Amino acid sequence: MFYPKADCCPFNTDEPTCTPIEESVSVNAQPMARKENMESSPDVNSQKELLEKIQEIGFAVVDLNLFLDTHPDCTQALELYTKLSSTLKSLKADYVAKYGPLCATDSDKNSPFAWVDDGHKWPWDI
Amino acid sequence: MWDYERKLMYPVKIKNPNPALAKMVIAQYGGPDGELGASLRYLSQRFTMPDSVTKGLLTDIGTEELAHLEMVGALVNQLTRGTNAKCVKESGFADYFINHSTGVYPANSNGSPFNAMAIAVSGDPITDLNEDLAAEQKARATYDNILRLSDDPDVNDVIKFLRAREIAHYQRFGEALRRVEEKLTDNNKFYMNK
Repeated sequence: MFYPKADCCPFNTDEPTCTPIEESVSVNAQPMARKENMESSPDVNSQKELLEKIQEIGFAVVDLNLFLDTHPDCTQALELYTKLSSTLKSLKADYVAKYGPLCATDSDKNSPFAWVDDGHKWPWDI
Repeated sequence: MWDYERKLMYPVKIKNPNPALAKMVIAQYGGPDGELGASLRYLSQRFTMPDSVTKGLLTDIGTEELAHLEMVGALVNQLTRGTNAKCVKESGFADYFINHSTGVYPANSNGSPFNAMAIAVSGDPITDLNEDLAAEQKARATYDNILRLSDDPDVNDVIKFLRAREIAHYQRFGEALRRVEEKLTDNNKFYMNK
């Protein structure tokens, strides 16, 4: 049968356990290689770096979510999912505190409404 | 990107199946003035809006329309539950049923599949915002027609909520249009080319 059984991990079909997932997704992975921009200020660079980290961990969470949808009994995947979800939550809180809202409800109490502030670029304008 | 919340924006709890009514309501799922088209229209137009306020408004209304799409889908699903062959034939639902059973397919009430020809994305903020104002009124008029023909209070309660949201969106789009127009007269008639 092409599809792996519910109790085995597709990342390493030799092993009946899910341990290889942890190796394939590292919390401390380096951000994706990017061009150095001489004009960018250090602050812009650190914002970009943090956003890339959020995208990286966010993608791992999305992908593990799909894996767990069809493998709800895999304890290793669930453990990694909850660990990365919590890492993602704190990375997002850090980003919001430093650079502004990711969701409308992240906006602070200072007027004008930060969600539509011209200082916070939309993702296709960054 | 988007996160999904496992709840409806407004509760949908229909007691009595009614495939004939499902066929009318589905107009707001996949019809020309339905929620799918609304969402696709605003989420596509937002890229070329001239300022953060208008980009934000189109993002937020486009997102809310997806929540409405889910509610209309829930209405169609609940109205076609527990039906039988006799009921399907007598309710005029047979032509839909033959292709889709009780699946929720994005089509108009006459069976035409969803078509992006029903929406416009011009890349021009004045043009697009005027289209959006018209779109909200067309959706409101469709909900009015459903209310004229439906006698199910459970369905009508949900339809009245959705109808009220069309009016709220119309108001916000009007404000956004006025804002963009004011910017255009602000010593820079090429503002929108930014």
